[in-house]
Amino acid sequence: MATLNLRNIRKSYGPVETIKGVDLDIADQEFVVFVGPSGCGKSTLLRMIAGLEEITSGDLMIDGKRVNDVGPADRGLAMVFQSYALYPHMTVRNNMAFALKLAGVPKEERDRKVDEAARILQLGPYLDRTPKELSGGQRQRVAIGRSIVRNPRVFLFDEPLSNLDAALRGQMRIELARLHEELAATMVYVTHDQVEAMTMADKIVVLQSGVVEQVGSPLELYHHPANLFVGGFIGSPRMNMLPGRIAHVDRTGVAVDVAGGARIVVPAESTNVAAGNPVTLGIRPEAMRPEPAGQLAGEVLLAERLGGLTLLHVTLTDGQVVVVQLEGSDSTRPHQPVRLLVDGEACHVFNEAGRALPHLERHPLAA
Amino acid sequence: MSSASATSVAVPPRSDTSRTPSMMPLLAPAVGVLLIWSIVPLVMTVWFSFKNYNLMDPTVSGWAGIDNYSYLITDPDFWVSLLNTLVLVGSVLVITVVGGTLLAVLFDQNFPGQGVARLLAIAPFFVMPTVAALIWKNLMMHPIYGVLGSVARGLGMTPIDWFADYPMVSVIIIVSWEWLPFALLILLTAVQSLDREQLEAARMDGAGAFAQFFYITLPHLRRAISVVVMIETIFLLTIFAEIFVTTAGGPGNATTNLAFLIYARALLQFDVGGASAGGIVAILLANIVAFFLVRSVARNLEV
Repeated sequence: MATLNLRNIRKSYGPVETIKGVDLDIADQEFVVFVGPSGCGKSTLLRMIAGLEEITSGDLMIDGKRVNDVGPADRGLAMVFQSYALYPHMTVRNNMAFALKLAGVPKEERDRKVDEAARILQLGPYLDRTPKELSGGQRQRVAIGRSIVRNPRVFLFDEPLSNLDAALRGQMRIELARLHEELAATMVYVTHDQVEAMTMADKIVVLQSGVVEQVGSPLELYHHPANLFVGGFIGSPRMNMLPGRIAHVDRTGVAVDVAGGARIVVPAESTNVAAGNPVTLGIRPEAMRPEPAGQLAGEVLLAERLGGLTLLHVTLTDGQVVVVQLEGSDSTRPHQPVRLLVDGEACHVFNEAGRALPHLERHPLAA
Repeated sequence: MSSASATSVAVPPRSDTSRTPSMMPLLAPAVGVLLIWSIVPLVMTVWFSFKNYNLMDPTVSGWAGIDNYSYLITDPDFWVSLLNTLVLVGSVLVITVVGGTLLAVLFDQNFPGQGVARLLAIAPFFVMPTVAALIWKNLMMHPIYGVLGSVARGLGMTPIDWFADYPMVSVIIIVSWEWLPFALLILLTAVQSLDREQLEAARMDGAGAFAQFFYITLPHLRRAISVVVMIETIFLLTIFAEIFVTTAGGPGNATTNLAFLIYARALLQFDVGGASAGGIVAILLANIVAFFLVRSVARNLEV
């Protein structure tokens, strides 16, 4: 099918550079998700791949061929837009067949391809309706169907699920994953929803202000964030960030002193740091639990009980609030003093520049 | 009036009809004023159309029966004026809708000086009809003093005496110039409301500029175009000032439309009865047109 290569891609609007040199390789049949906060350039990057935005500099290669100057229709891509962008005056059938009609495909073949796409997406009964007679999820499927019939080399999705309600979004996530398997196509997907990114992606690209912060599999990003931004962006509830100072380093890892005199040993590479360096300690909410022998002392501010999970908001002695995620329903009450035991192996140490000190051992699932 | 009554037919009955009786007395003053406002002139026109009523000859009086109408229908001028009205309305509609659509798409593009250009393009709409007609008559189309005449002479051609040789074309040009900005204004806002992602989706689907225009933009403009056609038709049926100022209906009856014919009957020939009969015919014509227009437009707007 298709591979995509981005080589030092840049985009400027006048003096303002919004994409600041992106290098990325997307393998055949890969499901790649661009995530990042709004305004990070993820949609711009996707639109540059689609050909809707000009590439200021750099090379975009599809299957090894430079396509910077090829029009959007001739790149062999199909795009699903956030607003679906269905043609309101055309029936579902005509919406899906529009590209084929423009390409001069004979009517029988058009009908055959549309029927095939409708079968895959279960749109059969709706082919003669217009988009406004469909529900949000059905419109979404028509938009996907419109891209399927063109048999593109790469599918591009621009926040396709953001207009759907939560239940439907979950359903469409499964459907998209199934579609990816059935079509065996390369897909590039833009979202700001990290659940979508984590569940669907083979590879996540985290972007911030036009720069790629980290590329990797979902679990790699979760267990081995490259820097503070990725650590804070991936994972919900957010990673707790505690300022601290390195107490001492040795071959087994780095000991960090955080507020209140607690010392936490993290098995991370210590070659580039020395005792006394200021660092940030990142603790995932699930890497802590209340325990009388815990390193951190504090008072429970609020307990959010979700049934399967309990989120404790704990004010530490220095006033910082951390979130602790516990399995099951916990009985801890607000205003109760607690000590928190921190699992040092699941913590991350970020140096002054915000870069993570690599863990000594990789997580088994984060190849 | 006619358009209002026709729309109310198309609108489905309200569900809260139970409240209507108690509201009637409260509505009565407003409805009463409107009723008198519209009915009195209509009734008077009907009344006069059956009377012998000549402003220059008070001795001619009494009922005329249907004489005013039979004179009107047997008058070849009447049929010419009817045709002229249709030609004028039809041509201006075609020019303004086609031109307005193309200009709207053009002005929707980004180019330097876009704001000023838009303002200039819309400006003719603010010029009152008499002034517009005078400008065109004396500054543009006059064979000796006019700009078009100078251009023609500059190119070594004989200047065209517009109002003598092509009177109807001249009037159509003037009226189109006045109404093009209106069409542009309505259609431009419609073009701007088009979802950009639809155009981008069409581009991804392989649509070129023409395919985008015909498959996406034009269908999107359908409602706006029907609104333009409806409003313009209502106003164009009554075009008078432009004709009065430039050709005075001539040469002969070449530019006499129904409105001008009625004026000529009443105030040039002082035949109020005949003019009233013409007026009734004009009302009937306007109602027929309005009926079909409102019906088709209302159907379009429901979509």
